[in-house]
Amino acid sequence: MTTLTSMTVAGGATGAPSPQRRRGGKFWRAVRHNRKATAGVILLLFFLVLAIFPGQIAPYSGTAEIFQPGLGPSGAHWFGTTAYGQDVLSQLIWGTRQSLIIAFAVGALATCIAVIVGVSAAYLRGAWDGVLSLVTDVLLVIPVFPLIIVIAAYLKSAGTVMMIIVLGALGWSYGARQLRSQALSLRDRDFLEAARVRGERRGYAIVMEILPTMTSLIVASFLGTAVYAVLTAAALQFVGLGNPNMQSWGTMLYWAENNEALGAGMPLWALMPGVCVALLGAALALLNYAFDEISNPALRPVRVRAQRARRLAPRPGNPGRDQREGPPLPTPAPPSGRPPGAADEDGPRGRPLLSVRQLSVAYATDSGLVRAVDGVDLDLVPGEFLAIVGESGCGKSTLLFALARLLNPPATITGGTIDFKGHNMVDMTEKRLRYVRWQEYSVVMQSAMNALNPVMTVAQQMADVCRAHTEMTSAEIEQRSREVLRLVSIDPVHLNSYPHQLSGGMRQRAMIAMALLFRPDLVIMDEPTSALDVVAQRSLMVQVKELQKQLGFAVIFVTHDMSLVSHFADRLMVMYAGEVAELGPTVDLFAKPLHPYARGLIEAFPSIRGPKVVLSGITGYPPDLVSPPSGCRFHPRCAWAMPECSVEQPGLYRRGSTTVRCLLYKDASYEGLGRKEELNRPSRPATAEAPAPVGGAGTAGTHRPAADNGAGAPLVQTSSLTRHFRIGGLLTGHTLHAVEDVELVIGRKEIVALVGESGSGKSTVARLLAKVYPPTAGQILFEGVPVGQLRRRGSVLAYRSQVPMVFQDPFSSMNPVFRAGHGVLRAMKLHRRELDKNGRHAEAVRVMEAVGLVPAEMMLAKYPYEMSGGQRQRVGFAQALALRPKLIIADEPVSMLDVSIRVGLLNLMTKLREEEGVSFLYITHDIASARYVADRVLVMYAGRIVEQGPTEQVLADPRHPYTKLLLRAAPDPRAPLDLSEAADAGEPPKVVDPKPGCAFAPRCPVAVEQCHHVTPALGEVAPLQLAACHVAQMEAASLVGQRASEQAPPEAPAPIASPGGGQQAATRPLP
Amino acid sequence: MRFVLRRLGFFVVTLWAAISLNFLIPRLMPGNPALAMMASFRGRVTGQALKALEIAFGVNTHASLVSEYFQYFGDVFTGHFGLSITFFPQTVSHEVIQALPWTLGLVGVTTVLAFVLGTLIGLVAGWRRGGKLDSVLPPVFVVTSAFPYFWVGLVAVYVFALKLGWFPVSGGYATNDQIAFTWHFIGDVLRHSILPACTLLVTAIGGWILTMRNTVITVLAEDYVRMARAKGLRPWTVMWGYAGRNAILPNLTGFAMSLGFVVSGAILVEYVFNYPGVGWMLLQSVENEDYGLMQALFLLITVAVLLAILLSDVLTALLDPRTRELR
Repeated sequence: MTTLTSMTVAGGATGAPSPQRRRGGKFWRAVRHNRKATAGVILLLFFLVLAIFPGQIAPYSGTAEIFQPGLGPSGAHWFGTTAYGQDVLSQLIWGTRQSLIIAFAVGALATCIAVIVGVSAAYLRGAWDGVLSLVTDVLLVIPVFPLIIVIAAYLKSAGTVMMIIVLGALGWSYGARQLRSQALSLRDRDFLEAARVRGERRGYAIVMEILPTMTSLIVASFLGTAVYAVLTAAALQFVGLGNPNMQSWGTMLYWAENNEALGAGMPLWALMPGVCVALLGAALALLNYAFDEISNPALRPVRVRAQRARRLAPRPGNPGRDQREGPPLPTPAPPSGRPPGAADEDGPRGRPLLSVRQLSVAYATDSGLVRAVDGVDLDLVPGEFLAIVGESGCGKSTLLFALARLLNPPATITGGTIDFKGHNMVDMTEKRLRYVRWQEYSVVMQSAMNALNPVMTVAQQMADVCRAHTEMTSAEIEQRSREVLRLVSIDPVHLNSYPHQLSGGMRQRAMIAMALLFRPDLVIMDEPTSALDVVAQRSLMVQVKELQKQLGFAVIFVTHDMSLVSHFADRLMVMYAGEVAELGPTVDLFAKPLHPYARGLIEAFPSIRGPKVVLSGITGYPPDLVSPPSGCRFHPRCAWAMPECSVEQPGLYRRGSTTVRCLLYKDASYEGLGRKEELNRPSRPATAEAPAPVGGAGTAGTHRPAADNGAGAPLVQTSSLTRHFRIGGLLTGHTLHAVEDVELVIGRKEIVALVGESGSGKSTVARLLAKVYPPTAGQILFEGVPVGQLRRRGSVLAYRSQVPMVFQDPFSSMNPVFRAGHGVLRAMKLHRRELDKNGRHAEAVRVMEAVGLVPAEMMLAKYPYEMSGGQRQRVGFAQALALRPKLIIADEPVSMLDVSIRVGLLNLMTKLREEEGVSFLYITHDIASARYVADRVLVMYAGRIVEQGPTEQVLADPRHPYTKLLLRAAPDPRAPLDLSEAADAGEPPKVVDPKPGCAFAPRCPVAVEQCHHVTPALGEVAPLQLAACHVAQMEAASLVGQRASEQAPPEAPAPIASPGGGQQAATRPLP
Repeated sequence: MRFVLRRLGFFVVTLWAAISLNFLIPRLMPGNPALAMMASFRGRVTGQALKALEIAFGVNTHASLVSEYFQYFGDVFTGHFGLSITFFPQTVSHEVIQALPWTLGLVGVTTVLAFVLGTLIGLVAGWRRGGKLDSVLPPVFVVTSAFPYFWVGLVAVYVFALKLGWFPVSGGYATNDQIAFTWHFIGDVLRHSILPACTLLVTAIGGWILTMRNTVITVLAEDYVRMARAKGLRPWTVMWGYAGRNAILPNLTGFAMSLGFVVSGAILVEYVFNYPGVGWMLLQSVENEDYGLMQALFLLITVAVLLAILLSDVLTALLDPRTRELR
């Protein structure tokens, strides 16, 4: 059996099955390149020909008993004759047909059943799924062959049809199981939810959206069952359970065995049918296996590629020389004569800990050699914190893994030197390297969930590394492990936990603890915080910085989030397209970035303080490293590009303690970038406008009162919106209170931001509004009409067309087998019946242009894998826009995109609001981006809205302690670092069977006794600003009281007014 | 231990399904083959055997289907399967118990051996991906795993028994031997078992090698393996503790899932070698229309497979902490 399980669904950029039009060509090319596939196809074709034309090919009849019995092989009878005087070769040829019929018929029948059972089990869920998968599993483990024998024994000599039915009816379970799990994983992909939200019928979703993406698995299931059918049918006939008069290979075996052909000098009579069965089975199995390889690139042979990479980029022996092909670089001439990028100019910081020269890494792909890292120079002094930043695909992680000698094939170091504490890291053998690893440098990876061994406890994973490097006793190991866990503030009781038992933040900290076991000189960190929520992110960074101070190790920290490291890194290295773009002290870099790319990155971050400016981000995308642009690699995206930039490769130039790779600085007198508008460049796109203070109406984040259009009812209003989920088994079930009592108002042409950490329930609110599932309690009023009462398909469709949704993950929200235009056109076909085909097309072009996807005709015809994340996300907006919506629900639309692209999408939202008059519910965990676009902000914690109000007002003066925490955690390069804040190690709780009390109370620094018993309702804490916090409300009330007492006699401590609709008394017990 | 309990529940359900199938099949078959067969036996067997048949088929009883159903369950759990026609006048249970050790010895040992060896080879092949072992084995085993078991058996008989004469052609022991615990007899049994065992091993091992190799390759791309390398662990530790430990989990599930296939192969191999085990007896009973024996054997095989699956589930639970606390 091949591993069907490992098959990948058309997913990310790599390994996605190529879509239909190109699929044919690509598929056959893949088949031709795959030796297993070629062999399988040839064999299968051979048998097909035999099966179709036996009369023309076979020398004699298969049944006529006209020859001398028991002849050996000869010219007339290649394989001899049978004991009954038949020609063996002719019998074989005539027998082919039956085997092929059984193979294909059983394959088809079983696959049909498997598809129906598997897909409907996954799609119907619940009890149906339970029953269907139980049946599948039972059938799977009952030994089918003995069962078939029993059935065949009762049926007596089964004919072909009966055999097909029995084999088919009993052989579908394996395929069904595979298909079900595949369909289950597809269910969670957003493109199905997108179809749902679009208003597609269930049947359409299954047939048109799910099945095409499962083609490879269906084919695999077919081939697998066909092999099983051929073998089983032959076996049944062999043991005498088939019709003995049939012409088939199995029947031949039966007669041969009955006549003891092996011993009686007719071995080929018995052996050849087996050879045929084996060959046919092998043909199908080869195809199956090859199909597996084609659809799962990880399994493809790897040796050839690694060799190719080495051949294409020969590894030089002489260090320090530029290995780039083409004309030699203009010598990077640091004025001091010292190596560029060296930190030692700043003062006597000592000999570098790590010294990298001209390091290059490359790997071969089908389209050519990718130079992921190209001639990087770098020095690191002991105790330094160096951050490497850049967009994804700029070679940051590759560089990191090259430094740690952890590159996975086919990537290899193709040139340059790495000197770490005197070790030649490039040429060191794995064996010697082992003694350097972890003792002198250690590594912290991006996701601890994947980087910790899931089947070993934390203690075991600490012990094995201790045993590998030291002679420590078990007691010593345990003591050391406890010590390092305490360093990162984890209770040592967690030593005996498995990784999955720890929370995300704890896992990451445990990994850092592990990295510090031997007090190394260097800790290499690859985006260790990117899987964490803002608050956990912040506290981890603070912790790392404190540990570094305490223990004195150096850190190399890779991140795509520049603002995150602004307070922590001593120096920043900006990478672009595999090269160092700029390297210098963090403070200088933020204050005055020299490289246009560095400047673009910094300007891509909205800030949470200070004046608001319209940001521009960076246009375009990082280049393909197979054939990077000539000259300066950044010039196609650069606002300062000069004619020579496309020709001349820039060297590294020095300005103070910063080095920069940009031709502007070749002229020694050039001191830095001016404002963009000073450039005389008419050809620049409008998006590269100068940053300017936000002024009049129509620009980003203009503050406007809610629902100001005077059209009566707000666009959307929810009352006590609540959604519970049952989790766990039937008997041991719990209730997850995902959304509790949410009052939400969205006005016309208003952008409302819903902010919270993961698990706060904000996505559930989005899905309730999009009618993905109904609320448990409460209702949604859309233009005054209760949405829950829409029953007719027509009115539901009408609602859906007015409230479309844009999803978080651009890689899962588009069906990989359809072109970009599919969703846009489907949406119009469903909702805008008045348009004919041409009208739909014209409208599709219009919306694509409106979201900035030009040329629209070309973009409509692209497949998802041909588009970047940002482009896909724009397609999501185009789909929504095609419906002429009134409200677009945008569920974290930018969180998975590079910072440089985020701003563009945020700007798109404000643009659409102005031009198309759409309202937005913008869901995000990034409070700065909420400030950038939203009029009002709602902060969610543990299923409830804890604070809401006008964005500027709330962010300037947050009242809820959680909002304060969020704001403190949000990285802000413009604010001074405050390490005195105690690291908050708490995490948002999952609200399972909650008790009364404020959910935030356990983490809250100001909680009072009441907070632990009484759930606070939203109450006014300032004009237009509501917070669900006893403390904040008391403070506000005392303020009001003070003011009131100046005018009127004092009152009793007033019950808190709650104009937002949270009238229920705070003492109301929870359900 | 909730995981194991749940699997135990599944075990019970499957067993119930198998027994019900066994009960229903003879009653659902068209044209009531049982009656026809009974008629043909009337002169040959005594009343007791007939009675056994009647019970098995539910003929000549006036009880309702439901009460018969419960009666049947009672019989199954007390081991009352009636008398065998093939080995008359022995009871079915007696015969089944006679055949069991042979199959357990041959099929049980070789299956476990094939799994263990195949997993080890697959681990090494995947670990040294692109190495000599890895470039030779997968294509070879893709082909061999498509070979019909019985055909490999036939070739083995032809080459090693008939042509070379190294091993006996068939049987579990020489016919002139007394079944006894003597060195001579044990040696004879071993000699007889080598060919069928090798046949099973050769055909079964390919699948394990391939699945293990592929899972190892997938696992090697995981971050925790990279992390293990970064930690400077001995390659041996990385291969066993990180790659192997994790890769074996899906393989173990695969083992449980494909035991049915293994059993079918074993039945045929026993048939080819006339090996006196359960599979051979099953086909004998089919040939002799000994339905009582046949159905008892089917149940036995099912139970054996289910027990093996349960065992591998327990093993999975021991090896994988995540299954131990499923929700």
